[in-house]
Amino acid sequence: MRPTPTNRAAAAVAPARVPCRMILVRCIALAALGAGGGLALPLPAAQPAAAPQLTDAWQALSIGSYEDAGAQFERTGAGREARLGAAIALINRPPVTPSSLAEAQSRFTALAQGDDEAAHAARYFLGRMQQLHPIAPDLPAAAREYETLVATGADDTWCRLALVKLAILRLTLLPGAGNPAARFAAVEPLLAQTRDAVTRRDLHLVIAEARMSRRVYDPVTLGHLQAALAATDAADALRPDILVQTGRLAHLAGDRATARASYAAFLRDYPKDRRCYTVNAALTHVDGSFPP
Amino acid sequence: MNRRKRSVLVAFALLGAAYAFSLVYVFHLGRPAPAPVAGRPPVVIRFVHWQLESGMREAFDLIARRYMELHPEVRVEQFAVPGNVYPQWLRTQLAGDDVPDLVCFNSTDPSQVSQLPRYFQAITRWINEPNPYNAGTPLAGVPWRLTFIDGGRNRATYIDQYRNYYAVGLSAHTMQMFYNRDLLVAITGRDEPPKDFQSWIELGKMVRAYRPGLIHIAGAHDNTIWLMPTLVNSALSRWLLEYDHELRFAASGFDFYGAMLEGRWDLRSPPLQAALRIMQAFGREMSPGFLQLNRDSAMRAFLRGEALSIPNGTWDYPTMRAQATFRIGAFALPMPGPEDREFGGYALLPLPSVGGITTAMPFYLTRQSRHPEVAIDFLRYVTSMDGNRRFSRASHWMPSVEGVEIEPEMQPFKQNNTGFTTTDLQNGPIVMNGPGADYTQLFETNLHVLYAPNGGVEAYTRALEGQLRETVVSDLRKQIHVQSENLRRRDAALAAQHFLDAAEQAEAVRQQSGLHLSEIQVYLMEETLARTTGSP
Repeated sequence: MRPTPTNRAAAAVAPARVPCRMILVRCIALAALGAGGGLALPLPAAQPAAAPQLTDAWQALSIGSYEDAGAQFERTGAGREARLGAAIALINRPPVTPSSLAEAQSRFTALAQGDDEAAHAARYFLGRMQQLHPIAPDLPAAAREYETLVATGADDTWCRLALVKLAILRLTLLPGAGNPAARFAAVEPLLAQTRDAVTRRDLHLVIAEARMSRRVYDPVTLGHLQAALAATDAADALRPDILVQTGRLAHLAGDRATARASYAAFLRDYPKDRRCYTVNAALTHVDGSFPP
Repeated sequence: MNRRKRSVLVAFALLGAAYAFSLVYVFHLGRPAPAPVAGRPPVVIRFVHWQLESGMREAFDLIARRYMELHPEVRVEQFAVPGNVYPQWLRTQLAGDDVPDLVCFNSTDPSQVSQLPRYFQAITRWINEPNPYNAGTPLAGVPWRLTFIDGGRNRATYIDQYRNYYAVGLSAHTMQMFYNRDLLVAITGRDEPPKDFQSWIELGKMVRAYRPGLIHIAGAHDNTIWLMPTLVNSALSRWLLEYDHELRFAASGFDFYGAMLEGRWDLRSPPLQAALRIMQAFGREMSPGFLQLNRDSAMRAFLRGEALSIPNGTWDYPTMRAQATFRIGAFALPMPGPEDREFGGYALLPLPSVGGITTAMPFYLTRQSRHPEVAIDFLRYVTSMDGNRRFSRASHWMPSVEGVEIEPEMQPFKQNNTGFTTTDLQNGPIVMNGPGADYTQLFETNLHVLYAPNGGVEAYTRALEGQLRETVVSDLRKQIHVQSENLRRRDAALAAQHFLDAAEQAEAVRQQSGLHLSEIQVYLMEETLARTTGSP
């Protein structure tokens, strides 16, 4: 007998409230129609809107409803978290203009003057604004914000994010960071700045990505991949890529045992991946060159 | 009453009638009230798609009726909207908060993909659970995603930048060379499609010699612009692997076009010249003036027996099957092998089905759905072994679920994964389509030069090469701009998730890891652009 969603369905058929937006649509439709006939139809009396909760505002922001989220944050009061949310919504709320960005920057700057989570998040977003500013990005300024945050030693969400973003800038576009070797050297010390396993894994991954992008296929790059792999659980969507990369890099570096083990793990754990035929052929040719 | 007064009265009467009708329509949203079940209003779920091919609406109706038999408390409604107005229709419904619960949607446009979380719900939490409708089958207890032929993961169902599943595919397709079996037997004396590229070229000569005016391939502008890029990429698969710098067996467009900016390849590189020769040879087999013809003209020529074959997707098979007066066969166009001196040497053979094994017709759960659990339950049924078998048989589209038998007549279309893949599914280089619209347009608008009697590969190369580098730079800059916009939006969304419950926080951490990788790839590309063009 097939399971049925009866209970869920019963809950779902409970009378639903008419959404405010629908009433609004109907009002507009009636107004448009009524303009011709001069008639008016009584509508249900509008209920006073309840004050939004911070959670509702964050929820709206999480799905990209910047206008709604901004308005909800403004109505939830003047707490630091609400002010932070309003400033984040402002960065993306269309139209994004120099004045709206300046306003957001000023709000973040004010919030960053503390030492709580809101201050750290504000500092992080000051860095992100400098980095991803649509009009005048300033990468050195972004790097300085991240360095300030990392220097607090808080190792919280925002410091961890800042650490990886700082690594990305140093590895790629930060002016004056020198040649690729100097850039690689500048990010290795960042690994010691966090005890968080996921952040360390992310650092290993961005370092390996930058090295491979410049075709630096050496044991150091392999070490970063292996460290990332060790910190990645089986369900993680990044793992199949890391296994293939480890296998191929180990093969190029002459570490056939690691190549063999990585390819075998990939074939065992991801039998439906589109690369299985290719990986299987690579495993077959692990003692020679690939592609044959 | 004079004539003028009568006219005014009639006008007011019409206005009044229109007003009354509008009131009824607005308050009942144009739909009849659902009939109650056991004294309760039924749960109504609606789904929308643009698949108007022969038999599709009937197949959807059949599966909806079957689901309603299992669940009398639910009513399932189908909306079939023509493809040419579908995007506009969908946008309007989304903006008006009146979109159906389940939406068939497919886009490669990065800015549209970035908007997905705004309108659709991630289904990861459901897709990792077993599908209850598979109880008592070999897929009992298997996580839902792993019951699909592609593990539930392809460009449309799994959105890389969000590290989340958003849709499930109800069907599967392949690109094939469909042919008139009766005509092939009449021409060659046997019902065997060519096994290699040179035999295929020879077949073209036999076709033209068999009957004046008979065409080898019913060509059209539409099937040229989707077939050629695939053909070119397949013919260059071994060469493309050289640009898989990050060693994923999935070369990316950034690496490939970055290598061009570094001077590692250009249009005169031997692999690309071979690819252009293949394109030219292919065009010679098509209908004269094919670049001016559309897909329907090509289909009509094939169905009238004026052409031996037509390149097409299996989604059109039910229509062809219903209208053809001859037997239809299909084969995958063979690629030139390493021994082929004119065209070969750059493909890594064998190749899998075009695009590999993947599901099609993805359905997304909208955020506005009032009954998300029921909508998901309906999707579970359609993609169970039983539901998908019924749907596949009724629609003559291939099943998306592992182990569902494929009807004998559709066996030749079955996807195969026994071949080398060298490019990334989502961000891979498509040599002919390039990193953006300007590059695609450059290749497409000059195609006539390749096929003109006084044109050819050299003329086509000359027409493109002067503008190629500048076009790649411009397209890459646009792509970087779009991706930077996406990063800004994702930053805000993930920050918000950090302030929600523990599950959302864990999800944000998971997605941040993917975002870091996307970000460094964008910056590495920007660094290559700055280094090779001398300007940021």
